[in-house]
Amino acid sequence: MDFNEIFDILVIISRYLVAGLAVLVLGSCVFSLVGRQFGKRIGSYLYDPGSKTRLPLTRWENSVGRSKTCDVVLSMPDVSRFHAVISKRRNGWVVADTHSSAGVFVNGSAVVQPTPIAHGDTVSFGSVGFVFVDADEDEKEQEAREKRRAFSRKAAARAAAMKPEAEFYPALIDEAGDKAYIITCDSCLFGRGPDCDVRLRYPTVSSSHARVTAQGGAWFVEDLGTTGGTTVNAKPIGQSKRRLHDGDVIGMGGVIFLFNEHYKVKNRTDAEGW
Amino acid sequence: MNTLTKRAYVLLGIIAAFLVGLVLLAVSFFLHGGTWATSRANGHLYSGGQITNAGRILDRNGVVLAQSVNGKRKFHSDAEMRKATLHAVGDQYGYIACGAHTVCRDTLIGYNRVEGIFRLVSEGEGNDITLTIDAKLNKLAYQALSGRKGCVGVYNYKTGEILCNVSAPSYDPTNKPADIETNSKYEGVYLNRLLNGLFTPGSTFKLVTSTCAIDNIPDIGSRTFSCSGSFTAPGGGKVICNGRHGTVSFGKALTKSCNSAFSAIGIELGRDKLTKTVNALGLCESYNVSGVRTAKGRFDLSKAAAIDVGWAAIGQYTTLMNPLNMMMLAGAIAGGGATPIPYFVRSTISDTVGSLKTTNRMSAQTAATLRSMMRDNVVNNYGDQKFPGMSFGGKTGTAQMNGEKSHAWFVGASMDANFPYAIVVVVQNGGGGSDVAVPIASKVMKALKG
Amino acid sequence: MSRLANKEEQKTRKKSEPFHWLYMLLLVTAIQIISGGTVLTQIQEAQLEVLAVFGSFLVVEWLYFVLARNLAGQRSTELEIIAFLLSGFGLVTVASVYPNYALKQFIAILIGLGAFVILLALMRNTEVVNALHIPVAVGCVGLLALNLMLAKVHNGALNWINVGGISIQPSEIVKIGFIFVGAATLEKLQSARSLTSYLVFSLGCVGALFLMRDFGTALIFFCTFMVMAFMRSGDIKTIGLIGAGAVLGAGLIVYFKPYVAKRFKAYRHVWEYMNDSGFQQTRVLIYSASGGLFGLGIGNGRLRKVYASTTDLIFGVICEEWGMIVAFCVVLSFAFVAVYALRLARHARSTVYAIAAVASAALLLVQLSLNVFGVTDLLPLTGVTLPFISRGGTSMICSWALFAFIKSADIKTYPKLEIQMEEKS
Repeated sequence: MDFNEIFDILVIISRYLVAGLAVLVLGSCVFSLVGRQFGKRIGSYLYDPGSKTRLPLTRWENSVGRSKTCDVVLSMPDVSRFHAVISKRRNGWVVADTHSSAGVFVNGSAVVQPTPIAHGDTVSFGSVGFVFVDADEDEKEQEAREKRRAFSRKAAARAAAMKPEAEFYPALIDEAGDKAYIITCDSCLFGRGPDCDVRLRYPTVSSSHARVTAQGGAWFVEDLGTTGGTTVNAKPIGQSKRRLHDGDVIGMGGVIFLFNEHYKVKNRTDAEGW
Repeated sequence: MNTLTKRAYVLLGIIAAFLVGLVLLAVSFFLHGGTWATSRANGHLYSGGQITNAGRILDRNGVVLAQSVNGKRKFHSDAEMRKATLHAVGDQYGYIACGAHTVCRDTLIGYNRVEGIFRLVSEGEGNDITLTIDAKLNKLAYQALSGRKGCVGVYNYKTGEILCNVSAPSYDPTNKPADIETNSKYEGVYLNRLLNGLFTPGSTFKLVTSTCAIDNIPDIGSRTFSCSGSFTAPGGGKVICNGRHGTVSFGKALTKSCNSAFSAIGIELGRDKLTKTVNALGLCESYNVSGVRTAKGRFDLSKAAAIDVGWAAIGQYTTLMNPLNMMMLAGAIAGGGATPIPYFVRSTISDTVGSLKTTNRMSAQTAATLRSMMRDNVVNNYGDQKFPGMSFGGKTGTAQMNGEKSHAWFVGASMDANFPYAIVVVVQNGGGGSDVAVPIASKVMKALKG
Repeated sequence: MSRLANKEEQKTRKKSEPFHWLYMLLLVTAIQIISGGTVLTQIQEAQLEVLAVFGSFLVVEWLYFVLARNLAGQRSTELEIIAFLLSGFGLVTVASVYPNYALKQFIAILIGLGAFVILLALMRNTEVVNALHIPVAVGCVGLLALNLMLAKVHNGALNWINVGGISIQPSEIVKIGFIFVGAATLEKLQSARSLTSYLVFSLGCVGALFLMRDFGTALIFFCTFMVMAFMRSGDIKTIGLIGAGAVLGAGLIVYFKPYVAKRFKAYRHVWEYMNDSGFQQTRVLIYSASGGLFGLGIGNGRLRKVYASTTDLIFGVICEEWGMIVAFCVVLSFAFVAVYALRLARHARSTVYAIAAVASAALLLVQLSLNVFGVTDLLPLTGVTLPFISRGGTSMICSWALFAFIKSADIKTYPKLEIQMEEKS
């Protein structure tokens, strides 16, 4: 069999081969495209505290108005047929007034340009007001609440197990509950860096993260201008100095600790911060 | 936004319309693909209107009648043979509409719905076609017509195979005459007279009148008719007879081809019964002969007076018959009342189905009576030596034409079950049936008998 | 912690993904090498050039997928596989008929790919789309006006501009702008609820095309306009009225300018005019049927010798040389892409994407119908191109751009946004 013969056979086969391959490729492409799975919808909503009802915002763009074609139908007389649009953008949620007669207000101020709205803001369409609940923030809050509850339960159990003759120090106890960072001085520097009084070896904690100080028998925490920030009970403290109570949850760069004002130290080697 | 995105379903309408279009397109390719692919404008097959690449056409004995050589269509080397087989084989340009070149174009080119004409394009060959005709017999018949217009057909009334399919005038497809469109010699040259011709049947039609009489007049065998050289119809008008036959029996009337007797029988039967018989015999029907639709005969007595019925009974008046159909009549009589539909292309699936289709024409009893009458006719009239050893029966016809020479007809069939062939000969304006048509039939049948 | 979990999740998803892009790409490459190789053995001129073009095409193709998967994090690349496969069909066919044109066609594919990527980037942010509406609309109208002023008579239609030896078809580029301008956010749609300004713009475009006597493209624009207007407003009354007006207008034109109707006299009678106005359609039918299901083989066709074989009649060339299976698969895949576009629109994150995807799919299908059914005499022959496959640069760019509109509606196209969305759900 010489080259030409082989070539001829190849040419004959290629007719069927090309057709078969084309069917295979196009077939599996369109099959995959048409069978495309879509993720869940958004869970944000407008909350009406009066009637305790939720008006879900399921899309990235939601029309609000009296018309039945709107995503959020408000059948109140001073709501226009197409009153406003609430849309999710990359940086968050925005509400825009679409030439309504009664106007749109965010926390009481009228919306002229599309205005960002945050979790917990009050959005009013004419005289009808709602609390805007962002699904993300809502979820975070829920989670934090859960954690706090579980944490307090643990702490209570721990406290009950303590014996009164032991030495007591204020301390930050980590999430798992197996490490205690004892506060031994009146002005204690927390952070990742080597100069800190208490070293927290977490990547998201800044090198000098926060300072815990004692003033008049009370403990206070302040953030040292970090990127991760510091929270007390899931609320960012910003630049302020925040009073700490026993059982507060302190977050530093996403890592959370329980503040225990009277932590019993059995032997000093099991605790960090010395 | 939900309302707006729901409107996206408008796309479904467009998609549906598009899919409907695609289905239509696919269906039309499926239905018409063969016609389109074999179009004369297809450069793969035709060049300058001439078919270039296609399979061979063979006769029943394997004689190659047409083939493609180096992208040119070549016919049989003998010019007479080319002319004799022209109407069966067809020409390379497709002028002969009922030739194999046109009728079996799909097969010759090798078109099928899956491969298109790939085989033809890649290997330069289509499918061969074998005809049922005997090329030598065709040549003999064509020569026997000796330049006169007309046709000769022979078929096997048991299998339906057509052995002789000759129509004249004809021409040589490799040297097409320049004056073909103008010279009266070539009038109707593209027409196959056997399949698509219509002629006044003359006395051959008496077979039809006889069938009707046998079926409708119980004592026809014992009846006599008087002939004084002409017959006067009850409402006036005369039918001239070909002689003074005196008193004749029914059988004798056919042998003598007595117009007086048959006109009288015809009038007695009346237009309704005659028409019924003509329809029962399928003479006004069109048959699919290897894909060619044959011409329908014409028999219309709706406006006929008594004398017209008399004329019609002897195959005159406005009656026109197709030669192949008359041949089938002879075949049915010889075959015991039924005949397969003839075909001339072998070895294609669709035709075998067609060839098995038989048509019932008359009762076996009627056929037997007619058989003996036709046989008597040959023995007593034309001479059995013209068809030696074939127990041949037949009927001539001399169809009178207004101001023109008569058409000479002969239809006949061998009554021998081992030689089941029927023949039709028509010589247009040829003269008397027994003088002109019988010798041609005799020659052809003798050659066939060998 | 959470980021790590996300990566884990992505890994498991990658495993369970039913569509193996790499296998598909290999198969596409195989098709292209077989068909391209066949062409290279046949052509008599410019072999080296064509070889270089085919090679570069394959390199670009692989480069795109590797970069898209690894740099841009694209996980859903089926649309591009289809686009590259079809572009490849077109390139091979064009190179086989006109070897000297292969380079131009390849450059067109490159520009088309560029347009695809740029449009995807632009469409990422709906505010950018909103902001660009006016400039794009002005540009479209300007381009068409320029075309009307400058263009020379071509094919009985004045639809080409010659710029430094390269002829471009502005109407193809305007198609992109047309959809871009029509796609707006819900906020914008609801702020300006009347159709008027959009109506004026659209009918202006259609009218300009009509003046150029490019009836096919005018019809495509008109149908796309109807779909977009419906998507935007849902106002069946107004749209019905416009449709009725258009039919009436067409009737009047046919009545007063009989020469328009004459152009379509062969419609449904092509076999009677098989050597004049039905020439192209009958040849397409004859040679398509000749090819059967598997075709006569690349280069063995005869339709390629008929005028406009690589543009308007390319469906017939594909049928004859590649076979009916390939040809029907190609056109069927557009129908499925339209179903995909429909599903995307239902789940789109902005009305911009819903409108753009639906309008693009509708435009592609209408154009495809006019081409495929036009050359096969199921519809009047209007001389429009077959998306991705026909020879012609602007048509190629437009096809890629339309696919970009569809792809942009898929959240998977923007992986960062997708993660953001999934985190919350």
